[in-house]
Amino acid sequence: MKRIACFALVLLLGLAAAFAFASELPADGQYTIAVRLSGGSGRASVQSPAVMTVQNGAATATLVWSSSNYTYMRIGDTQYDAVTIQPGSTFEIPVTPDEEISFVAQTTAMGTPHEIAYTLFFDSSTVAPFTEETIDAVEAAAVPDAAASSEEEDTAWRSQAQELGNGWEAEMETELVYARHFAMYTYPDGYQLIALSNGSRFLIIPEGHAIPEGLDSDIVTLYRPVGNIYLAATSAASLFDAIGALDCVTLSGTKEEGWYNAGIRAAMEDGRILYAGKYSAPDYELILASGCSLAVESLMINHAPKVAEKLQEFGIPVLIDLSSLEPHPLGRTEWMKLYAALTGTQAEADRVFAEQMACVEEMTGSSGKTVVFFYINTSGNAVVRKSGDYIAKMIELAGGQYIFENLGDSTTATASITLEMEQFYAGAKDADVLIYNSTIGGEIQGLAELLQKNALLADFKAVKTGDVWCTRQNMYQETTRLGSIIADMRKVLTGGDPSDITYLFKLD
Amino acid sequence: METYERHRTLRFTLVLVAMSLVLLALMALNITLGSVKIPLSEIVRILTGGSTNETAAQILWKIRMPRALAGALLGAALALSGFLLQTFFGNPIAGPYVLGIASGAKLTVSIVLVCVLSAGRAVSAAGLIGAAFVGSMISMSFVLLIAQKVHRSAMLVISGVMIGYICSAITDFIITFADDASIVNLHNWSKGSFSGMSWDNVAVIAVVVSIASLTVFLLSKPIGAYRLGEAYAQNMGVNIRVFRIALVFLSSILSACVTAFAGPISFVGIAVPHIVKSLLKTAKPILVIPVCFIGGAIFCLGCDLIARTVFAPTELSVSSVTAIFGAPVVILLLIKRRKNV
Amino acid sequence: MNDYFTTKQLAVGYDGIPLIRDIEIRLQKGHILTLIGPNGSGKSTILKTAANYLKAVAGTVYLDGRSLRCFSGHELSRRLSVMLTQRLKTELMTCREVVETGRYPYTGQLGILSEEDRRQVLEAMDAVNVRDFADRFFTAISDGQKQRVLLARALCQQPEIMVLDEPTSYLDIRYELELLSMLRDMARHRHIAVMMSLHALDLAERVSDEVLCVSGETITHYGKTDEIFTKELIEELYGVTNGSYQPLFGSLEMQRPQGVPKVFVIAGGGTGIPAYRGLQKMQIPYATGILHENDVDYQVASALASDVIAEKSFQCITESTYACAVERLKRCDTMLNCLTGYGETNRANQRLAAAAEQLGLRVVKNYDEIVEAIG
Repeated sequence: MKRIACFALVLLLGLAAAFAFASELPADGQYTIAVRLSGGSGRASVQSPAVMTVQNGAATATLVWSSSNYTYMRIGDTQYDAVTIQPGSTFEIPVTPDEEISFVAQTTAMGTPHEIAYTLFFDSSTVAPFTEETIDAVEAAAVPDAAASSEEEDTAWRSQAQELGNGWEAEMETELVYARHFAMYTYPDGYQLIALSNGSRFLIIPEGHAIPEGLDSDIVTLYRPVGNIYLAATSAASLFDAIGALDCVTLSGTKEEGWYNAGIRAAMEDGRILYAGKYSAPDYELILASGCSLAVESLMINHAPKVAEKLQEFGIPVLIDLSSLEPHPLGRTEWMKLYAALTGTQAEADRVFAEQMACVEEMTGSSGKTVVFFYINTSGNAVVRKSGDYIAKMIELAGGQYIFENLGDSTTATASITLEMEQFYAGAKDADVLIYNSTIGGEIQGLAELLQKNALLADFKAVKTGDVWCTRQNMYQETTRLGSIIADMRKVLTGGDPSDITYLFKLD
Repeated sequence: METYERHRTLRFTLVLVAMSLVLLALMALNITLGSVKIPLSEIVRILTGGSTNETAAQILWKIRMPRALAGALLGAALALSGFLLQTFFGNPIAGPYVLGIASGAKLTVSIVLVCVLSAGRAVSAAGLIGAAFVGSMISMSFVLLIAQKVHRSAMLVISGVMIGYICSAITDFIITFADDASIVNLHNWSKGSFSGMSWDNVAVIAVVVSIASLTVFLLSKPIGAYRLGEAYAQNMGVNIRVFRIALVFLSSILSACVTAFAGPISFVGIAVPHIVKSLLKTAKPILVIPVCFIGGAIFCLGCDLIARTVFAPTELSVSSVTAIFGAPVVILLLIKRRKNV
Repeated sequence: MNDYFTTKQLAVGYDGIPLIRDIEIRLQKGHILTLIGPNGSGKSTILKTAANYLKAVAGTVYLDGRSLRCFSGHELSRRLSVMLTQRLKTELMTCREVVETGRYPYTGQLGILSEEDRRQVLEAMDAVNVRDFADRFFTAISDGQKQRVLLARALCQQPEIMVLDEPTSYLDIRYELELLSMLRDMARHRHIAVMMSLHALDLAERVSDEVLCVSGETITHYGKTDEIFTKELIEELYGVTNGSYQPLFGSLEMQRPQGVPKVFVIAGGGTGIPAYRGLQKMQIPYATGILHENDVDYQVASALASDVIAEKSFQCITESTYACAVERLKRCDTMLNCLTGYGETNRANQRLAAAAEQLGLRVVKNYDEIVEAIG
């Protein structure tokens, strides 16, 4: 008994000391401190740990970015210019540890300089003295961070994509803000190459021009404007509608009743777009007879390779819409630029996209609320999104915090992960806001229905405070309105008027 | 020849000729009907090579023809497989999948769909076909292993059913880790479909099915010996061990071929042998086998036609159509047969 | 004549476990060997091993001097045919088709019958008399007819030896007799060795040349029919306790009534048998006489009566025998005289009947009255 008491006392003293140390800034000198960057497109990163200098009680950190395109950082009202741009844009900023620091950084990655919002977090518990070894460690840098390694993958398919096989050199690469799974290159005389991260390439031949000689055999040639499209990717549909390119679609992979998009429904009602069978069993005869020139399929086509091969047998190229792989929500929306390039509606696409970007960029600052995005499947388990998923990003952009951190293996191609009720309960019980995903199981009318799925939910904080929302089923198809959806989420988080919110509704 | 035998031969010839004509008619129908209307005159022109309408020619040659041929050949394969198993086990409801072939195929297909695809890699159609074939053959190998050890062939049915259960259990296990997309696609695959057949497919099917069918026909004599049961068959000089293996192998190859290219299609294998025996009024293998071949082709082709035209462009699952037509027929025939006996 | 079918230290059983050991059989062509023994004793096992359907656990079976193992399935099928007990589930098969399967070892690749094959089939069908319903479905005929069809099938396989497992099991007497006499004919005229098992002892005795008794782990007895069908052997083989076996006719009798007999039955020439059996059924013990040992009544009386006063065959009844009978009469209270006439050799019975009356025994006309009186 005595021994236990002694042990406990020592433990307490030790804890107290650590605590005291942690809450104070160390003495003057050089240290390293771990820093985390979030926000933006997710493509950029800062070196961590960063070097921190404490002088006269004030701490300054040297932040080195992964890209050299950043010109200044503005925290609050103070602007900090880049000290150097090698090996990346470097800034010296004051350190306020253990709190989210919101700021904007200007990048010149696209012709016109542009501001992007981020947040920084310095973790004071990781402060360590700066030694020779740590200099090397810092310079050797690259905490192998998912963003960096996949950036390597990025560049791999991109550099291969540009070689057409006939010696042509790309004049310009289209600057994309958020999208990572496609790239567009412009060649002399207006030829344009679309390259997808799955290795497929499409060469768009402008009007009045011919197919160039000596092209690599895997490049698919399409004449602009591409018409008679068989659209079997539901998420791409709203993009076509938003850029006014629905006229180019003549065949649909979903029946009229299955669409939420008014534009397509109208077109199907009028008979301008015909139902040509779902992706796994299309009506080949109809497709062939209508003179289809391109099939836009979703990732599901990978499960039915026979269909893709059959379509290609008829000379109908297959373009797989990879927008659902985009980690950033606006990356999905940016795919409208690809479809615009195919259909010759680039101006409209640029305009719409800029609108959505503006929506998002207006939002700064965190609401400090934690959010859970989930649904209960038929087996009674909770299906939630992985931590790096685009929905998690949307929540972050809206100023919330997705409650599950480091959940799920980001290298596998699925976006969701199934949790047993126990795990879900432990992780999400204290979330401030619950959002129910109605895409798979259908909309829920009222809290009672939700509690029927699992009575444990009654214990959740969000249920007790009445902060439970449900997505409207059309949310999934509204790829173009992701900005607006994020805005809606923000309204949810900041306690906005439910009647003002379009894509979500409150459960009571 | 005695009168009875003369009658039987006559009956056989009539039925064979009639069914061949029906088959030809169905093939013609399958080629003419489709979601795109192509007038008969145009079809004739395309067939004789004097057409300029390229789209229509493509539709005919690349969509309708291979589908019709595949449907006919695979239907024949199913019917023969069912006949073999029904005779061997003396069980009127034995079907091509009683040895667990479809479950094995479904297992490997689910492994491919769930594991390979979720790792981000792509799969070719040939890959899925190969996977299904491999799965069927694995099931078959297990049954063959057991066939060496058991004394009575009736045990094989039990082992086949058990292997089916085991494969299904493992498949369910794999599905637990699958995302909804894989589950949906596996479900679609399990329903069976002739959509998207290509000439490459038809070539492989034709070779496999014709070799297997010919072998079955050449085995008419031992199959006939089996009608009196295994003990008598053995006394008549049939090598039971070898025959059992041959039978499992042949029926598995036939049903594996179908499962690999079109997914599991039910009822054709169970219903057609009964229909044929009732038409011919005999169960003599040398007569039943050729008629089963044609009968299976007719049944399958007819059901596929219905499946793809009734609610065009939506395709019904061909298994549902075969079940709707197959089940009542089997019930009726069995009732009639029991009454006479 | 040489033995066609022999076994040497044969042991039969399942899964390598011997059921019956040390089986030594010698069977000639044209002879019938019957296996008898209680149910489940292993007769089927021996037959299945002989037919090569089961593998011998130990020892060898020889056919015409060659071990069974050296025969290929095809060779064996031309020499050995079987008839089994299982019910056949044939579908849409005519009787002719069933018989035709017997030609299996002789037809070509696809099993198409030649002229010779057809002739053999017709001949076989004629031998067993099934031509009339040859074109009816096998499943539509009676059991007796089915067995004949199967026999025809076995026959047209042109065997040198036939193995039959309980061929008469579903048949009633008429068809049993029919089948067995056909077998006897075939064995003799076509020179076929026959090996079978039978339940009906009486027919077994009548149709077989040799008999094999199967009971327990070894063969208890094996030899010619008359050697085997003795009272003691059969009773021991089948463990008969509630009755007896009468070897002369191969008949069975029920158990002798217990107790001291008070009834005396005078009989002879077969007249007594109904009374003997009737009284036995009511379990009434009786004495009977004076019978001659070659009298038919004597057979049944020795099984059922408590006391039998008998005289030697072919002799007139002697005075001493008569005196014994009278003595016995004095101890009874009822007398039944079944005789209706008397001959030279049994005149003494007339005197016996009169003596019974004088002694004051109740005289009855038939055994029913006794039953009423006592019962």
